[in-house]
Amino acid sequence: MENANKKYSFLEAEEAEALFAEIDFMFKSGQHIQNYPHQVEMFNFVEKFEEDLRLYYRNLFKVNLAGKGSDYARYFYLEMDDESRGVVKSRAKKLTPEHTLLGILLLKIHRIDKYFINDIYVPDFIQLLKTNEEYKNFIYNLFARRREKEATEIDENTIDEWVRNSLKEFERLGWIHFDTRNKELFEIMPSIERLFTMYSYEIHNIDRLIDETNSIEEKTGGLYPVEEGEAE
Amino acid sequence: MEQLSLIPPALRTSRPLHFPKILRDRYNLLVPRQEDGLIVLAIFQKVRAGIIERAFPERIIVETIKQVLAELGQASGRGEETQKYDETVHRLLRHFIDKNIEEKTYQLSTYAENFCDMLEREVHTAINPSQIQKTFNDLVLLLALKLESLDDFRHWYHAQFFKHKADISAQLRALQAQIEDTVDQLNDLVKNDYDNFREMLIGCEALLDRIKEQADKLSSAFSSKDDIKQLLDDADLGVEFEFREMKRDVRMYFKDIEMRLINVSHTIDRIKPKINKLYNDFEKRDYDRKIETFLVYMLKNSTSKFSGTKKLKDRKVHNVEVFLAPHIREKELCSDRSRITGIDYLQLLEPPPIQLQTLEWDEADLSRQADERRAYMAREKRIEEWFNVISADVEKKKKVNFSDYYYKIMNKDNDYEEAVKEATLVLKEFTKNPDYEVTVFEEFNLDPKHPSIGIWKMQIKNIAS
Repeated sequence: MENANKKYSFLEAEEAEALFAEIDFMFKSGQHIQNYPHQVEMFNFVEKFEEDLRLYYRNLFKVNLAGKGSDYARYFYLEMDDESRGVVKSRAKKLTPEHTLLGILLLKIHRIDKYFINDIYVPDFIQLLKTNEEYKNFIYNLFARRREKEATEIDENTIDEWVRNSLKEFERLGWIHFDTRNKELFEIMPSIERLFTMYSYEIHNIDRLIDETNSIEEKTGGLYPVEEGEAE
Repeated sequence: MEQLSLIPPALRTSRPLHFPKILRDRYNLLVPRQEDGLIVLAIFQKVRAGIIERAFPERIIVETIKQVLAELGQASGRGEETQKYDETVHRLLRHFIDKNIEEKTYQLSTYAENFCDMLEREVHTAINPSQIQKTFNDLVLLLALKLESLDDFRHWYHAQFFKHKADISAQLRALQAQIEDTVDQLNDLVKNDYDNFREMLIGCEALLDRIKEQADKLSSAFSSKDDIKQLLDDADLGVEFEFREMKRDVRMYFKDIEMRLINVSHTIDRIKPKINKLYNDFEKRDYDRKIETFLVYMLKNSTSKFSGTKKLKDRKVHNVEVFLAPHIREKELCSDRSRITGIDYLQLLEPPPIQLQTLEWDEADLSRQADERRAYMAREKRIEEWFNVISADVEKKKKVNFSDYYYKIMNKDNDYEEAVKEATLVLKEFTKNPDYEVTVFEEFNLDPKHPSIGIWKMQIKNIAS
């Protein structure tokens, strides 16, 4: 018992009683903790006991406590690695295609196009998506099967719902943070970069991926083999 | 001896400057204007390459003038050419071209050859640290022998030091010119969006590394200057004013060289971070481009499936399911949300009271209900049997008309409900199966045995390959 206490000494820390249960719950539910005012106490705790906590999650839960970014952009989260995947598969959840698409759009618009310097007003964001010449046709096609000009109220509602649902999920993950006084205003958190990290292989190899897709399309006329575990 | 000194007498004595009158008068002829200088250089290069003889006719000069003026974009208007060529030849004849009156040929003057040689050396000096090393070794060896008397030292100073000083300075100028070229290339890279940006950047970086390497080698070659300084310090000629003056010149020259070499290194050190930033910008640009391509690929190739609409609190939306583009998998996030299963703990402790119900039976009607249930089950069984028959026939014949089976059911079982249910089942099962095609024609199929019944012709086709 004595050894165990030494190994997980963070449990003995004064602030553990107030913070650890919440941190543990947040991590296990997929949340990211970063150095931002609303999470600063939890972030400091994790940073202070980073190595201990890493051992704790590795030994007891077979998952990895990952720390990415630096300084103010640093964030922590639990990730499944090759070892944990076989043991705790039921503790994993896939980011849905709908959320994935909105996440990449949000990051691209914010990081590359540099729209919205700080806080983002949800209706503005929705409006931008619906009017952006580059993407609007794809969006309307996916969520309404129509062009923007032919969209009905239900189509518009569906796109709004997609955006709002996705943002809600991102808030749950800690990728964005809604203003506590104005629930239509949110800020992008550093941890949303994880979305790019998750798809870094595909992003780096996108040119090859497109070539392969085109060559398969030429051979099969656009039909793809159904992969194991895929819908339908 | 005075005219060989490093510092002009006027500067040493603070007397007013005095240039020979002939130099002032002929300065513009001795130092050629750009087009004249390039014409002379072009002729010099043609002679050296063996394209023309050392002695050449006037025609060659005129051709060269035309070439150079065209290159400089200074072609003359019609009618002015001859006069312009004539004036140019006249100017060049003063110092750069000699004319052989008897043979009516021309050749470059010695002054012109020296001028061209100097130009090329200034521009194209090859950096050669090992040559510099040898030069310094010679300077040190000779100096050691020339410190016995002021005359000997003066000879070393004017004959050896002055001669090699030009070579050493040329090497440094060549290094600085290389750096300037590289900086120009980098500026050009920043201003223009080249396709092979990365390769060009790698080229510039390699060039800078090479310059740095050469600067280091030159620094090491110049280390012999310390031997020269030491020899001069140890010499017994210190009492001579002229010696001290010359020694000061030598020391200042070496100090200047040392500073310039340090400057070369510093300049390279300043450029390096800029190159790194360019690399980072390029990598970021490239990564951003890939993100954009990735996003478009995802949006373009993802698909969606619509299944009706759903009503939310105050609006309706499509029930849409999205599927990511081919080769793109959904990513996993850690999620163990067992703590929020949502069980109401208090309710478990105090469940609401169970309502007891009194069941009443109509025993007289039980037999009728049982018969009805049996008839229902028998009909369901027959529907399934007919469906199997139809399925087997479609499999075998590839194409069947359902109306035939409809009347067969009616003839055999005489059960409207069974026939209609069969039609519904067939329509439902075969339309959702992609291997079959169901076509309903606007054409009635009738049977004389059942004059009150009509059914649309419904064809089921097996289209599986």
